[in-house]
Amino acid sequence: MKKSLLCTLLLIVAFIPSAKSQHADLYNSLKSKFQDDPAVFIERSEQLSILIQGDSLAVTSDVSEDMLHLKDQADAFATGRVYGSHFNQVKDIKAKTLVWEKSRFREMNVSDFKKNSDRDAGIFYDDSYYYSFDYPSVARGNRTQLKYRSIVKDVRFIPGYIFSSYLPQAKTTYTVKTTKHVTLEYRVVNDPQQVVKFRKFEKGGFQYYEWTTSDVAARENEDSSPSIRYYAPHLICYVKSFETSKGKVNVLSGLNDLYQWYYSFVRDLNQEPSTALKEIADKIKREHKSELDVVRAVYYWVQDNIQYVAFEEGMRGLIPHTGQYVYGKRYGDCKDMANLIVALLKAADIKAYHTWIGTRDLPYKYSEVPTPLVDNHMIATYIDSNDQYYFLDATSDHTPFGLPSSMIQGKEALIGFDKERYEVRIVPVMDKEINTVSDSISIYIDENSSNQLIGTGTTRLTGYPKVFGAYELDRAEKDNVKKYVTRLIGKGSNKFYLDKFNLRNLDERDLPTRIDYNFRIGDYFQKIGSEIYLNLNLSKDYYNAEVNTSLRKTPREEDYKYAQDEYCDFLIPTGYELSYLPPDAKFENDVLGIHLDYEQKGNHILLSKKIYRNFLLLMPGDFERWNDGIKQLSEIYKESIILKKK
Amino acid sequence: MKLVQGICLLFFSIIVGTSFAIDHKPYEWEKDRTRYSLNDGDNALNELILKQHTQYDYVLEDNKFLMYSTIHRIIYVNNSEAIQKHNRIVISMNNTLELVDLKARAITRDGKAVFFDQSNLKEIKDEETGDSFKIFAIEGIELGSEIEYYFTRKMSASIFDRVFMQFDVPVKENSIMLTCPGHLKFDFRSYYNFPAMKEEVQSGLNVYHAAMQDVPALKTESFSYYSANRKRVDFKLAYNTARSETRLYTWDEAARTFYKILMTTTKDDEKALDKFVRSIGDDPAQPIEERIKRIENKIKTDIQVNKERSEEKVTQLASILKYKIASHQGMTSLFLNVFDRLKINCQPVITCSRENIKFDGSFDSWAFLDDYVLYFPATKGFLEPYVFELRYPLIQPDFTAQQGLFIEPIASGDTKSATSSIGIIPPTEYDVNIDNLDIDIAFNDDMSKNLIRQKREFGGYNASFFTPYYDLMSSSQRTNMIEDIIKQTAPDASIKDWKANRLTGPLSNNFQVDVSFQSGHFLEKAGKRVLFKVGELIGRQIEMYRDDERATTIENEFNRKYDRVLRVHLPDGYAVKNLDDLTLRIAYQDRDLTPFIFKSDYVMNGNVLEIRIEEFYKEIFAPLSRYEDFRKVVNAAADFNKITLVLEKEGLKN
Repeated sequence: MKKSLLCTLLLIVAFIPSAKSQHADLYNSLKSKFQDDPAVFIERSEQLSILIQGDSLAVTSDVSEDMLHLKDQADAFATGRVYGSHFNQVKDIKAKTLVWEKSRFREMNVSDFKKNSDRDAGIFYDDSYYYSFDYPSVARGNRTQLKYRSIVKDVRFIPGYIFSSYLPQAKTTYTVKTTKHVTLEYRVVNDPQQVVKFRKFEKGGFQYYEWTTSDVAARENEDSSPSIRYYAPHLICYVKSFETSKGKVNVLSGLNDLYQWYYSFVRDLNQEPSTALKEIADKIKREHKSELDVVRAVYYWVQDNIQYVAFEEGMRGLIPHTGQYVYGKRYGDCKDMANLIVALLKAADIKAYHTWIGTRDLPYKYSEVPTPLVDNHMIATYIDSNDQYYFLDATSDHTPFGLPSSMIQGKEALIGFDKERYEVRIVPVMDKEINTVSDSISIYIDENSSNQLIGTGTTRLTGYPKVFGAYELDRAEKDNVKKYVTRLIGKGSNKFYLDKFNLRNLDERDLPTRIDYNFRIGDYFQKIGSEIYLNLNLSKDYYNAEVNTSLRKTPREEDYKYAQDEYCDFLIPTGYELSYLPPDAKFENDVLGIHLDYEQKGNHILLSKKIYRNFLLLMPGDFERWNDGIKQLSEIYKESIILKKK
Repeated sequence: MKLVQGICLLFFSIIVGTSFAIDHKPYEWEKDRTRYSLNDGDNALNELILKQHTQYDYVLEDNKFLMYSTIHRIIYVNNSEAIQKHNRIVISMNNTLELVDLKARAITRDGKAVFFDQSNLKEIKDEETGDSFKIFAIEGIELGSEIEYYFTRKMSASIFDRVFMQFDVPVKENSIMLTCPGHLKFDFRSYYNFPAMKEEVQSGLNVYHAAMQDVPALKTESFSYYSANRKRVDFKLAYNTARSETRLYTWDEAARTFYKILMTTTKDDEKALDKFVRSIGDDPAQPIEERIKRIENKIKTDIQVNKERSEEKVTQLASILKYKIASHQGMTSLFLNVFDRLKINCQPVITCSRENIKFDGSFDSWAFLDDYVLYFPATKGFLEPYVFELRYPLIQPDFTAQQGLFIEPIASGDTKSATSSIGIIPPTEYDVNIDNLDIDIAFNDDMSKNLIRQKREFGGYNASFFTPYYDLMSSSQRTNMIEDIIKQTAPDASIKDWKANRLTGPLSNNFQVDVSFQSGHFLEKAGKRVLFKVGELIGRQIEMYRDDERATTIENEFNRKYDRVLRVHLPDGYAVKNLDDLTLRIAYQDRDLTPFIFKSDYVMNGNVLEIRIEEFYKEIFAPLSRYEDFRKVVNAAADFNKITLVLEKEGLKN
């Protein structure tokens, strides 16, 4: 008996590969799979527990990461961070390095976790935080491991899971552990290749939902990409309802649940308008006749008088301050401004509505995902008697009445009418014809200086170019304004000199911004013998702006659809005549359009050029069509006119 | 300031023990005041600081040497950006025991004051850096309001400090005051024509003060550093006459203090150090520079730097070598002790970034002592102990062309001590920091594209963007990097093949890329002639615009040199009509020296047009009076960009 036991033991030992060869095997196999990468997650996992406690749900999330370092100088990965906030409290962080020493791992624990405020550039005060720490002895062949628990304060804030990371991952697991009394809704999106595998099982009386991936490459960052939720495979998951002894409790069983919750944040605001609000409202009413003009004036009043300063603190992240409070402080965040618009209009006996909306960073729809994942912003909505909707976002200082802010175009707005009634409505995407820059110049060759062009011009901005430009044109320092104008209208070469400019309608939100200017450009054209070569394409927008289709994987995002219109009138110098006029060009498809027309009129040469860009997201499938146009345009830009001495 | 902060606590004892104790009189503002009356010019400005007052009151309280630090500001804001810039107040609570007083109000155009509600004061803490802040937003601001606030912090006393007296906004009146018990004497230095501090005795207190009316705004200028050029006052505690007439906190004392901090080790440290030194594999028979580089490589590969922390774990050698994490001071200490073990003479130097402040060795304020570099007398080379990217003999360019406190060890028996001298940390020579181009350009048959082979070599600081990272990059990152480099020159480049490598041998920090590509970017058509934009082959150069109001001297980041050779293989049957455009020579002469130059010339070898360009910047500084001459050299490269050659088929008639 004894002998056989011993034999078995020996046998087992013989079959267990040594720790050394195990480590070497793992290292070699991952190194060969991810040769280029500095490190790899051996495993990244998260288990979300949703358990019924009394008549509510307790949600915790256990996160664990195991990273193997594949290159020397692993500096970048020696620092660890764990993020938390009021709604997502972090606990029990454990971190360590496994240092490979000859034949075994030696564990070195991290003991120092420092708590820091997590400040966001756009938010003045934020209660979110992170713990920072340093892994000791991070080096090639060593492993770093992290575990922590998050307490999710409200089950509505389950974040879902993104199955890709800044490093490759050998294995990823996301598990939801719950009971059969909890009804879960889940969906994996952006996964056409089905890299995410799903299974559901029961164990120990619990229901497990498990999603796994293996050997996922590191995510690459590309310029002008939309947020990764537009293209990275990820899981959306939320609780619809659960059963208690007292019956069924709806959480997010449909949009109505979400709305009822949101409505509770604004229900008690603006009961009776204060004297101060009433005074402002009355004054605006006296000065404007039609209801629409009053709404416009209230919107502009809030834009002009309330500064954007955001304090994110607990439930204050969701509940607006009263109109009176914001009016007194003269600052607030998006929901404060939205509510002030509603309150001021109410004081003027006009109905406007609190409206929840997600910016374009969030690809979700209320109709598909009725959870707080959908939105991150609040505006006010006014509906006129012709059923025309006005989306009023006062956080953007210069946006004209009637134009939604660019970041909410095409997004679903959740408009709250009262306790029972609400509506989901899509904010329109503004047509390219609304967002224009037109530039018209007259130029001639300076007779006193043989190599200089002199010109005058007018630029007009409408729509979003006007809005975006206004921030730069309204700078406190005059020098900065001049620098921006030079950047905006500069043309020809870096020897463009702006002699003077005059700015009009900057504060007239309903009129195009207009810039009249005088300029000179040195060394722009060639004068060889009896000939002058001059390229009338003084601006070469989109020159060689092709998408590199062999490298780029993600869509390209623009803030708005856009059309530009350029007109150049060149005076032929005395004693010269035109000897060559480049051909006209035309290109048009649904993403890009180009028109170029040359014309001689007496002793003037006229070039008229129109270009439009007709998308918010250029999808990989559209890259070739975009490139076709850009290639043609770049060729056209190379054509000069030739003048010859008579 | 980091270095000094760590040691301030040592100083209390020499102040305490005197019998003076005068109660601090709290600072107050005018409770009800009318608005400033502004002239039309000021009224039309978008922002204007009406009042800026800084006050330090040093006191002895409960046997502690403390100070009350007050800042009082009134700003006129008349546009939305100006409001956004001044409506959020952040008060640093570092070294602060208590925020004693804070008041803020906004006074609107019609004279109505809105006072700040203290319940909206928030606190932010960063344990990693040890920083904490109180923050708030000023309430009730309208266009044209006067924003006013002051706050007084009770703090541990600063023995040295610096107050900036100039901003990017004009200031109507800027004043500074410092009071202290009569037995203490402070020394001051005003910079850039800010008035000198006046001294008075008022009821047993020494009172120092200075003020300036109409301080102009300082703008950001190219080839100049903003912060280093601001008007300011530096000060230090210089005497404690209750004790003696000896000057306090001299450079020698600094040398001794910091040397001790860096070189003090425990038995555990020594043991760990021995083991580590053995693992380096140093060979004393090797040339000293090779040894230095080997040691530097070992330490910078093995040890991670945490620049925020300063606790024992990241400063004690045994712990550094165990956990492989070190603070700035810890890294410096490790380097020095390793070199000491290996009998390589190495001396610490303490300086500060020339971007922030010009080190003034004639004023012994320890506020200049921000950062360590290491100096090797045998090679006259420097090493930067805590920056991964920079390797011997390169150190951060803003630490060069700058004075520093050189600490020279002196050994007497077993005790290690040090003396000091102020010296200049020299900038690297111009021919180290190269960015050279060697380009061959051919044309395709229909003259629509160029076939280009571009060899580019980066050296010195220019290489430090590439060399240290190249091995760590993935192959797609490398491809993208090459694309980025080439597209700076030819935005439409289609790359055929490329090589990139760091050089070996004495130029081992240099980085070379060799790329063959095709591009249509340099060719334009003008009927039957071809316009060849040869000037753009050197990449787009900056154009410095004329600025009549330039206020600051010219300052380069580092000396540098660009050698460029372009060989244009002209297609058969074509001639260039305007070759002489290629000859340029713009030089900045300083007596018989030429510190800055751009020149280009050409020769024809058969059908190969060879263009040679020499451009260099041999000096860091140039006087304001020569700004125009300097600008011409910089712009000469931009002028070269505009050169377009007209290629014409021989015998062509229009």
